[in-house]
Amino acid sequence: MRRHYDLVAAVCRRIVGATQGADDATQEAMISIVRGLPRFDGRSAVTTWMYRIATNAALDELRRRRRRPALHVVDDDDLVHEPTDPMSHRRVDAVVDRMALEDALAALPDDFRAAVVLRDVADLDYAEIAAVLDVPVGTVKSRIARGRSQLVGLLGNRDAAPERQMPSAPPGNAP
Amino acid sequence: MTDDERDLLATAYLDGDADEDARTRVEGDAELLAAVAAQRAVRAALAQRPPIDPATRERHLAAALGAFDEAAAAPARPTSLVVPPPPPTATVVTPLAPRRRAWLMPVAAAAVGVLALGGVVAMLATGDDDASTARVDVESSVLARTATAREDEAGPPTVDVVAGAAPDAAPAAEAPSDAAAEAESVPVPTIATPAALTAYVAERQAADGDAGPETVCDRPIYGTVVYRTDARAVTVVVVPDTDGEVVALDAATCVEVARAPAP
Repeated sequence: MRRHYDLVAAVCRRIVGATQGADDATQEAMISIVRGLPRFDGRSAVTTWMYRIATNAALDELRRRRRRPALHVVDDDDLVHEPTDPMSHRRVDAVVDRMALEDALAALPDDFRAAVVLRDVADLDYAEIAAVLDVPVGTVKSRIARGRSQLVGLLGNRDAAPERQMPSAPPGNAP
Repeated sequence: MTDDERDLLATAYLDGDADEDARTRVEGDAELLAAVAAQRAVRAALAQRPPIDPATRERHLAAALGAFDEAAAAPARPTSLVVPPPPPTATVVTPLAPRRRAWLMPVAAAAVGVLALGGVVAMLATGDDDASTARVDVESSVLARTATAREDEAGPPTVDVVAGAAPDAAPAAEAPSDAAAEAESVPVPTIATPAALTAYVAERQAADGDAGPETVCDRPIYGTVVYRTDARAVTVVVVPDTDGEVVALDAATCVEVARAPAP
């Protein structure tokens, strides 16, 4: 369990985003994995089975989150940033890069995001991803290609623009 | 070329899924190479895993282990990693509940009668006593194998196997078989010492040879046992290790519980 924890957590974090929800999804996934061990039938690799559970926990968390009402919205434009440490810009850049990646991921449809994360974070092959998501391999290829392409566009826009582009809300699941 | 085609080609190339023609096409097209480079950069960024708070990790692992202990303590839940084989169809008959399924008894008796008659007819038709002898031998060997095979490999004997010497015979499965029922109810062994671990592996090697093909914790296993320590009993899988030793790994956590010399 310890050996696989970090990857399970990374999958949940990349799918859900850097929120408390990602922690909740990770814990839910770990408990589901432990409880499901006696029923694991060995028809797939244990890692594939664990990622399936983690992915489902993350997607469930996203659905729960969308059912909750948002309390308030803070507009980044209203905030005034006054860095006191002139050498902190590198750390800030690193954080901004990470936030930009997470923002871009959040802008993807859930199905695209799950496929990209399982490929590029969990390093599963197409067949394993198809088994985890329960879709044909061709659909996996298409989702990864379109998901990566959208990420390239979103991150490229950010690099090109003087200010960070905030992606719009996800349009919902794509086929 | 549409954007979708370009993205699919670049993705296939980056993931090593492109055939020779596709690779040649990508490598000869500057636009496609740029798309590959852009996707590669995204992939590299994603591969950098976000930092994980060690305290959060420990809290989650503790919750998971607590859930496992809770599940293991529940009497109705199995603790073995190996799914028990489906209900046998050939040689094992589960004792019936007398009140609710009493009506099945006459049906079973009739089936036994029909099967016995079928066997006699088959013997007379062949005129060869060796047929019945062979069938008994095959059935005995199947029962013996069922009694000693591991849970994950001892699939239930089928009608065809049992009746191998007389393929046309109706299933003899409905007849009760005490030996088979006993074999089915063999419990998961409990061991408590490294010496017993070595003896268990010797027994498994004698019965099945090397470990595998079933794997748990990414390793081929000899089998599943309960390892009892002073503190508690743990369901473990027994696997070979390097340096001529065998190891018992906690089936839930893959953590080593005991180690012993290989036989």
